[in-house]
Amino acid sequence: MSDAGRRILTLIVGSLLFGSIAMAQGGGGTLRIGLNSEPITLNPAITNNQIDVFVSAKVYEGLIYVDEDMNPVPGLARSWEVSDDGLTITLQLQQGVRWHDGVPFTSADVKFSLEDVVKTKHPLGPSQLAVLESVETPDDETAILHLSGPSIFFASPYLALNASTAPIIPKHLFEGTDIATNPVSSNPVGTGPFRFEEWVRGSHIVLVRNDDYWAAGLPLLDQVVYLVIPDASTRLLAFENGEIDYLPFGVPYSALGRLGARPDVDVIRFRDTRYQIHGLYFNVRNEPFSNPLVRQAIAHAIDKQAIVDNVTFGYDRVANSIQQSGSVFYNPGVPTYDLDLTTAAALLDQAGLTPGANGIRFETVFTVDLGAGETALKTAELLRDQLAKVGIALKIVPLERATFLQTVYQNYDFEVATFYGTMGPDPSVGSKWFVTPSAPASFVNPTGYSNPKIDDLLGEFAVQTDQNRRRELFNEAQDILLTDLPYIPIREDSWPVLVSSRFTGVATDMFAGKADRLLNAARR
Amino acid sequence: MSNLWLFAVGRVARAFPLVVLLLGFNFVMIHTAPGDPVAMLIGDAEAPELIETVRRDFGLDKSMPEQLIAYGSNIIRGNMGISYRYRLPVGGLITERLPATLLLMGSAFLISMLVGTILGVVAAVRRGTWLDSGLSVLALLGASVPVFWVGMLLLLAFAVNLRWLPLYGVSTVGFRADGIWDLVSDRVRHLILPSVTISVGQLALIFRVTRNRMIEELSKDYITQARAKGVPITRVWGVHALRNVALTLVTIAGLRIGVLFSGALLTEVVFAWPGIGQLMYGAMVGRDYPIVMGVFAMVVAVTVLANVVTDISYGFLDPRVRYG
Repeated sequence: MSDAGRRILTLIVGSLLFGSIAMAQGGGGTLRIGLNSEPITLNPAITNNQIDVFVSAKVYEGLIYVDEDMNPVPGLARSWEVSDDGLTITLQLQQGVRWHDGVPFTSADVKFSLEDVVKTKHPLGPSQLAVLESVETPDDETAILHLSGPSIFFASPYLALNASTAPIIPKHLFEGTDIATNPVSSNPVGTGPFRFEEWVRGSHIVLVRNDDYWAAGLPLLDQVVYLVIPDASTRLLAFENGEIDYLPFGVPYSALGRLGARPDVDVIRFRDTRYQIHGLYFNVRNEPFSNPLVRQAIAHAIDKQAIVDNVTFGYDRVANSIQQSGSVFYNPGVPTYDLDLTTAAALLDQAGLTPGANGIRFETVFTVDLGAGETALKTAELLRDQLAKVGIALKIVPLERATFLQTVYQNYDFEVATFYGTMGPDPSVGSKWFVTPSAPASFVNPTGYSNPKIDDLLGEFAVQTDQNRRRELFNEAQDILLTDLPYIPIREDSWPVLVSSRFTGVATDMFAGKADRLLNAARR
Repeated sequence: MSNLWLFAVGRVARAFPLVVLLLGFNFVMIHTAPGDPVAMLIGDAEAPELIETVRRDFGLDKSMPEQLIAYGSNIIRGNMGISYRYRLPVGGLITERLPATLLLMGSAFLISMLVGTILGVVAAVRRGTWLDSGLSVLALLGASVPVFWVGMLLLLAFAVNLRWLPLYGVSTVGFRADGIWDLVSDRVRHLILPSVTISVGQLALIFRVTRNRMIEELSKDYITQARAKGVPITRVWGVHALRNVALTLVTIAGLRIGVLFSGALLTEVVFAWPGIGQLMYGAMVGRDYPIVMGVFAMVVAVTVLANVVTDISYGFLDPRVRYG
């Protein structure tokens, strides 16, 4: 009998004998995941790089997770209680959890991770844990977080304490060492569902099932293998050849039609919680984009549906706001701009930009972020054709990511640029795009748009803990932003991923997905 | 010390300033290119103090001349610096990846030399036939097509459609070899497509040079004399003529090591080959200056060394050069 046959027989006999227990332990198998680049570190406490977190969050864990409906669920904290003033959070930790090297996990690890590592060394730590004053550890299973004031990140404890922003790392291996160069940062020892086995640089990373995982019967997989294949075409071919089971990043839309038709492939589109918006930025410091009429004219000249249809083959949706339409923070009454070339032309005339002898009103440069994926350049080409119809000549300048970041976010040396980003499940994470920046930094507002009213609204939004009030504040902010238009949202990214239909439970929604633990993934 | 040794030492000494100049030039080029390593590493950090700490850790807060001096003094001591992203010594990262790249380059070198020379000789002795013309057209094609394109075509044909060979990587991940033969065969199967890909351009060149030089040699008097003395024709081709052609081939092969290396870098990305090329690719995208400079320093050293060795071997082989 073949190996697979034996396994199936065992499974059948087992499930007959033990019912649900055997089901929970069934599945097994090795999941092979294709990565477009190699992680830099496997220590999630000092990185916010997507790939780093995606790999290391199977080994390390956070205190609180969310389920598919964005409700907080236990991680290393089995329960939590927030005081009435919101300034004290008492966490009861999971009992009997051991690090992969056998040492017991205690509240001292939580204190060490949050106070000594994440708060100072995680790229988002200094801002997100700014209000965290201290962690008190009355006993091994209790950690009490003392906050100095209200903070959006603690409005829902999940935001501050999830696996991506506050992973818990072992104190006994990291204390007193340089965290970044500590060998454990590339040979992780966590509490998570998978143990680290090997990392062959440039080739692959192997994780194996943690048989002592605290959630009984989980995970289902025996092994997770990450294969590093930098070339997009090779990666896709490897998936088509059945050498990879899951492609979480950089799947070209152009391949979806062909692969989606195959019975052995599942194309999974993330739900609304993925929150990726593609569009464009204006540099409102300079003429002509300092004039809101010009920005509104462009909004009327863009055929968003044509971009969705041609660039994403109809897979995405048109975006009307800076928050995705599936979010509870989406404002459905936000001002929209229908495709209307007559109005666009009238607005441009009104702004004094009349057509010259050659029909051109003005020329401008569109700086394209090639790091935003294969769609960025195609979008730019369509925009060039669309804007030409109202007499705007768009010159496309594609830049690779490092150059783009410096040109647009640090030097502000652009006129129109690719806008691409995620707001997170709560716009507090992404709302920095709209507030007046204190200093140039990557991924904050490069447009020069500064509106005291927006700063006030989003300032209150960031510290307000009442969700209804927060929705009001963000609705008003969306109204103002979509009137002023420093940004034009074009489409909501559905971020399709490919999964072999041999597996189930692999891809969940993105925000949890980056730090997803693959607990319920299994061979069918 | 003999003249020959003086000549060799002189050549090495002359190469030294060239290496220094190239490294300095490379340093300035990389540091003036747009892009900020810290932004690439922790660009989404909202805390200026964290960004400043990291910048200071990397020494990027200093002026460029100061950084250049620090780099120079490190290089002299054999220290290539610490990678910004991996936080590991660059020397170690490179040596870890070097065997994979050398294996690839070595096999590509062997394939191009062997096949190129044999086909070149065949075309020369069958000069003017359809075989000669066919091979020459193929060589022209081989010399003109980009490496990654060749790689993609080979992948589609042999790994996807025919499924004879693996798609990517240096070995099958999770493969449990059943004896040494199994292990070697797995490695060789992975090696075939990428090494053939890299060898195409070099092979075409070696073919053309061999063909032209053979035709030239075959028309010389000593060949006619050897033939007149009754030396078998295959021996005339294989020993008399080819030996004279070989000197040219060695020179070209030596000078083209750098080209072969850059071919390996591109091919590694297509075939997910865990060598220097992939390391370099990631480092360029992430602006990891120490790795980029380390790899470049290695390429400079290898290229200059290959040239020096070629020069010196000429000196040994041809006395006229020594006194020139």
